[in-house]
Amino acid sequence: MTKDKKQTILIVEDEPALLKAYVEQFTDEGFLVLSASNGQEGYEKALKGKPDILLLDILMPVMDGLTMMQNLRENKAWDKTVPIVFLTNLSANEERIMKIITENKPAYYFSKSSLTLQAIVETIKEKLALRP
Amino acid sequence: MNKKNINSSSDNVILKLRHLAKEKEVVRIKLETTAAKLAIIAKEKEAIRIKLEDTAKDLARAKATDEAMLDSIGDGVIATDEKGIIMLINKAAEKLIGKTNKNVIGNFFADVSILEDENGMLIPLEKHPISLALTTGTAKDIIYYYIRKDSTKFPMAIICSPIILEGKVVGAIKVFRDITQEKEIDRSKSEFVSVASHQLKTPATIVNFYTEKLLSGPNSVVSPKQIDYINEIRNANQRMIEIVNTLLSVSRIEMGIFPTDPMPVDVIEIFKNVVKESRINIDKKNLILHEKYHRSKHMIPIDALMLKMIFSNLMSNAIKYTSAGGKISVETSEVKDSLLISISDNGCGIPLNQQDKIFTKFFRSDNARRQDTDGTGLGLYIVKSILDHIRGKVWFSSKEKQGTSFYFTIPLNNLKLQ
Repeated sequence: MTKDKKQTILIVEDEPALLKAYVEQFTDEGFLVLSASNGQEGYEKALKGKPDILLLDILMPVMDGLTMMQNLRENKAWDKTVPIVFLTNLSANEERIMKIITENKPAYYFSKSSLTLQAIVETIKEKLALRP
Repeated sequence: MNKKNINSSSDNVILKLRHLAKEKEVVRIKLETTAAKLAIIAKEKEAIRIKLEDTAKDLARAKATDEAMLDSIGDGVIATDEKGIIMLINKAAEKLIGKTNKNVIGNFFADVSILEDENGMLIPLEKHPISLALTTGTAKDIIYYYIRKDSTKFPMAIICSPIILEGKVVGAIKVFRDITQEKEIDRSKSEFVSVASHQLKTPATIVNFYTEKLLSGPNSVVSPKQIDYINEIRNANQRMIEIVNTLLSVSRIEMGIFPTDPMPVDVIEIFKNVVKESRINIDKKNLILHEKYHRSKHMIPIDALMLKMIFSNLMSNAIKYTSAGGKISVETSEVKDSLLISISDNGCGIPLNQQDKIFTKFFRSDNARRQDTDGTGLGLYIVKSILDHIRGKVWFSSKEKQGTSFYFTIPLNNLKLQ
């Protein structure tokens, strides 16, 4: 991670209050922030903006986070090494979600209700540092 | 012959004749009496015959009534003799298991009813409710799945009792019913809790993030009073998230969904970590902690999260229900094919008359309620459910005001993963 170049993060979250909190936090932390409120919009912004990392919700209208990831991965223009971090409160279908996520490295899964914003920022920085 | 002689002989004849006539009269009278008696007997016989007929009718009616009653019982009824040969099956049972009495009566019960548990494991003969009734007495509150001939199945609730005649077990009677609907209701209830919990988590997360923002970062508030208030909001919110998480765990367990990421883990290492994480709360109450761990590693493929749920629930109970300055000891040892872990405290204990309810969902003992008002009564229920799922055991010994020791085992072999 180079210190002078701003890292770009794309945040996709349908809940406006959560999206606002993320956007502000990452902006304060010196990131260049792109945001979207559903998977379809996120997909388009990801291809156009070429972010260094994605922060995705799973349950969203129009297109959910998992579908968005899969669509991106199927698109040749997409850089598959871009880490994708899922932040969600969904846990009923954990098994299915975990399976999809482990099949799509580098992708990670966290429960947002158990994290602080600061911890989310740290996690994102850590995953960015792991990137080859 | 002279005249005198003639006279005397005719006299004799007359005498004899008279005698005969008398005898005849006696016989006639006797015959008359007998005839009268016979008539009476015939009458009595007729009366008996009528009575017998009535009794036969009554018996037939009684039998028909019994059969009708048996057939009208909404629950399935199957009775066997002492060898387990089916002697009787009612209509409801025929309908439920999809077999007619002709295919069933005279057969060995286990050949007719194939049962499995909710994990799809076949119930072995000796655990079959009828076997239990014939050997150990009444078996009740059993829920198994009945496999029909066409491989479809349905959940049934079974009560099975021995039939006792003159002090001897002469058979068994099984009463059962289809509980598909109850299961459905239970399932939709659990699903509701699950959905509601997810919906509840989002606003709680929002409160979490914004209180964090108020307390730190460029727009944080400064007044110490404000910080104090915001911390209160934050703690309450955190508690709400924990409650929602617990409810979610319960609803998932009840839907049969367990965390399943069976990576080989060192059980004792995970246990040590939970103890380490509890350190803050142990120190807060100045509790003395004794730790004694079995030395060798126990790598088993099990979901770490699931293990943690067992450990942290028992640990937090020990801390919660032990007064400041008290003692907690944790110990692990190997017993047969299992790892035995104990967590003991000298805390408030569980009242004797409530000990049998301690693993019941939402149950909290009176003294626990007094000591800590915001528990959910779900911790031990979760512990028990998980251990049941992985075929571990849990038990305890406790004395009120003296303390409690919880013991549980984690099987090291043949662990069921899913």
